[in-house]
Amino acid sequence: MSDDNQRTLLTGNDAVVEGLCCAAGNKRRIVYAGYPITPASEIATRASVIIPRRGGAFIQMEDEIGSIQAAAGAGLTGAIAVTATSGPGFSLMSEGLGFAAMIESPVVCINVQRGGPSTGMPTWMGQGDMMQARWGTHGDRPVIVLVPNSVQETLLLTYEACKLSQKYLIPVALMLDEIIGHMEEPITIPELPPIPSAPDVEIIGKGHRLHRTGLTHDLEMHLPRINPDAQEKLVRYLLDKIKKDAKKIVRYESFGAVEDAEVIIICYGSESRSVRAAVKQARKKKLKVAMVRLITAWPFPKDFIRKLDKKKRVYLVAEINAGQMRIEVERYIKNGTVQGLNLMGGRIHTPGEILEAIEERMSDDN
Amino acid sequence: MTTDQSEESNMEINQHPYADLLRKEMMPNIWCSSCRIGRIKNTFIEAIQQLGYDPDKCVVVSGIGCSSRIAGYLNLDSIHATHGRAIPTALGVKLANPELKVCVMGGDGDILGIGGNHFLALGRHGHDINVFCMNNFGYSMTGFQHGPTTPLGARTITTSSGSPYVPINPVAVALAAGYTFVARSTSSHPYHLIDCMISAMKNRGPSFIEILIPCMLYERRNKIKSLEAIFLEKAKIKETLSEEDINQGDFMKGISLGIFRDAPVRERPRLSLVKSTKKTAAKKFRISFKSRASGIKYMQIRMEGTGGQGIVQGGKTLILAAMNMDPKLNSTLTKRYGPEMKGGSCLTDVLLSSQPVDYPFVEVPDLLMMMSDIVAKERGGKVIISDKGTIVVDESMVDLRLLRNLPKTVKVFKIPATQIARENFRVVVANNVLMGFVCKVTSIIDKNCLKAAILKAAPPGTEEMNLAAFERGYKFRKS
Amino acid sequence: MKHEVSPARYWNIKECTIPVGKVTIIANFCKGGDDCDECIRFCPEKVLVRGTVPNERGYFPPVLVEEEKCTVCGRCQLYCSENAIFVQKIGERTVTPEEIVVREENF
Repeated sequence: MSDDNQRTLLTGNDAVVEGLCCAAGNKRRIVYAGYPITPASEIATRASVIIPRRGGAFIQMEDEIGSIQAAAGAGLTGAIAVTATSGPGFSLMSEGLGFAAMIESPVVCINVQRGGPSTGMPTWMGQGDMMQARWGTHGDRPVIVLVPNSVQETLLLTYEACKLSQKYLIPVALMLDEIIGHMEEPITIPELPPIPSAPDVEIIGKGHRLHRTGLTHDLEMHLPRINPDAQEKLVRYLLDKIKKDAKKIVRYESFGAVEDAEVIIICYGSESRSVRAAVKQARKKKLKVAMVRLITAWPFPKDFIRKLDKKKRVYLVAEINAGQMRIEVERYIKNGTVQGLNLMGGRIHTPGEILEAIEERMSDDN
Repeated sequence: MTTDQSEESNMEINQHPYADLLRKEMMPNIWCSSCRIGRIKNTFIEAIQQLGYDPDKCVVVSGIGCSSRIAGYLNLDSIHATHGRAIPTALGVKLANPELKVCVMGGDGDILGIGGNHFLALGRHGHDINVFCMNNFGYSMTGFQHGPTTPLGARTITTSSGSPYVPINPVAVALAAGYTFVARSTSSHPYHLIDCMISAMKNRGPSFIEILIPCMLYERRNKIKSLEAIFLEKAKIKETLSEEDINQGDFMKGISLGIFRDAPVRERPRLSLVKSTKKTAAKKFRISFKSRASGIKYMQIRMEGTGGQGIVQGGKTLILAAMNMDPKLNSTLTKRYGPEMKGGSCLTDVLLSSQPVDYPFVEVPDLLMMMSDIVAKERGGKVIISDKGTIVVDESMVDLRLLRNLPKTVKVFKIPATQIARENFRVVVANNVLMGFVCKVTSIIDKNCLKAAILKAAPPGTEEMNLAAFERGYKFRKS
Repeated sequence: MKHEVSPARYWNIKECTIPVGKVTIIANFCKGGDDCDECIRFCPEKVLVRGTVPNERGYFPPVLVEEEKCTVCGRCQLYCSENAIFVQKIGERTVTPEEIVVREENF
């Protein structure tokens, strides 16, 4: 067998674990606490072999609530703390994610989305957790949500998620979907520099005798201060961490000539692959179509979308839910019309279906 | 408090023997006058001081409730987690940094009620975490509702005519859950408690101490003058405890205090990493192949059949072979199957393309490999294939009538793959018999590339059989 | 259980010396009164009595009588939930062996 072939065949779920290893480097400890759930179980399967081999810890917890809490605890010690789940588990983790944000613990939560609500379709895809990832927690918290659309990008964004969580000390969600999670693609595992660690004063076990509480606290000592002023200060501080740097964090990708497109399709995740195929076909037919793919769903690339709004045109938000990100797009589009192209889950649109939708909008215009 | 006085208090508190472990900024504390939770905090400090632990390496994790506020008053690394989740949070800390001493402080509602699941699981996980559960028979922070340990008949604000629920016995639960150290003490026996805490922290497995504490709200609602007096009267500290003593937790009848179990942590089987037999096998069966530009622009390949026929493995073999043949080729593999491992419909889509693959599913296959007709039948008997496509059928499994209405341009090849596999090898290698045949009749992928891929995709130990099956398929000729 | 009776960890039973203690009461931390008199109740030497002057928060901290009798057993310090009282060893005095026995029984 020749090994000059540098590419490895991995599923999206496997690539998550490889991404974690890239982020951890040789010295950092990875702590994976998870609970099996289709379609994210394969992440745990691979993690249970690879992470202990690298001196990290893998634990299968008793439930998802325990998983996110264990990750939040592990994050405080400077380890790369990660948990993976799917929709139903993500719902259970909502409180824990808020807790992690409150105690400023860097946690990476991977959500391999499936069709919902409730048990829904365990083995079929969905994109219905996008708003939950933003608003699932009670109270306001800083949110970063990354959405990859290929196996290679899953690896890179897992690395990125670890990096962002350690930088801002917040939980970061990586939203795969069942198609990306189970799809196999040959990828290259890059040599990436180990991510910088959080400062020592934020890490327990280093002699700083930290107190971390889920109660409203002051910013210096993290001691409980239950009053409106402290709350105002604390929540604004937490939100500003992301707000301040939103421009640096935001990532998106466009395909086709966005400026003079008559129809712009906004999409993310596996659906974007279909959209790209459709846009390619449409451009062959000389239709003025472009695509914008969100890589960070949150923070939302609002400046970019606002800039697009100079021209009157149709924005088609293609997603596998009843129109969650469409609501967000509508907030920033005043001149154009925003329409949804939705499926309720189980599959993504075929390129043909999207092309048809594009052509329909084109004829509407004329 | 005026500034002068608080400064004076601060100066005085600095001389306190516990000063190093008290978070002075937080004092005075929030508990009711006469509450004994503060005393548990003192015993904990005593225990740490007597053990001589480095406070920088001790972590206290607590949940929500009166007793969980302890974490805030201890000048250690402390986490005040969400309700009931102290144990998993502590577990995360312990896993990430095993040199830390991790203790969980909480109430009965926190640890045994909402966190009961985590409490049970910790016993099984067997990590060195000390759980100190302060049992005050109800939820006192919210005004005293009944909790998991509220005695039968006790009045609380949610059981105003007496609790109809039989309380759980924390010690019995801990023993059953597999905690390696289990003890019961009360806040009225602080020296005994210090002793228990010291033994608990020395124990290298999960430890649990049930600490009975009186709550003023419980006393008031149940017209008890002093629970502490009852504790002191009814409690008996015993050196050796029998099984009967486990159930002696009802303070009205008699309480047995002491250590119920102090076992060494069970020897855990060493982490045995499964040696990758794949690699050794690959050395044994080495197949060299040549990579070349394939010239494939865009090709859609679908393999369909029944779950258990090796459909996914077949797809994987194909994509690996394609990778072997042309490392620059872009490819994707997606699969669809039902929840059952065997017997359901199953299909694998492989896309090969010179450009990055967009839509990851096959729309109209150029090459269709039918291992059975279950998928086609689910589709209403329709076989989807491109006009110039190729179909390779396992004629021993597929109803050939399905192929009647295909356009004349579609090439159809038939092989009784399953029959060949059953007669010569085992049924499971039918996919590779078919693959060998495909290799010959289509010549999309080089033979050696495919064989190398089979080695990679085949389960360890079955390489030889799989290769032989492939060869058999390759040499198949209709008799 | 060996610690059920106070270990009297500052006592030197062999040489028949017992420490002389200094008791400090942090009045503002105290929540003493009708609900709480632990330090007074559990002091084997009866060094403390209920105070009559309220502190800032309206509680009645104990006051010292016969401080010289304190033997630094540390009970008040351990029992006080508020950490409002503590003892420090400032010296030693010699006692008769009988006195030690009586003291141990008191505990």
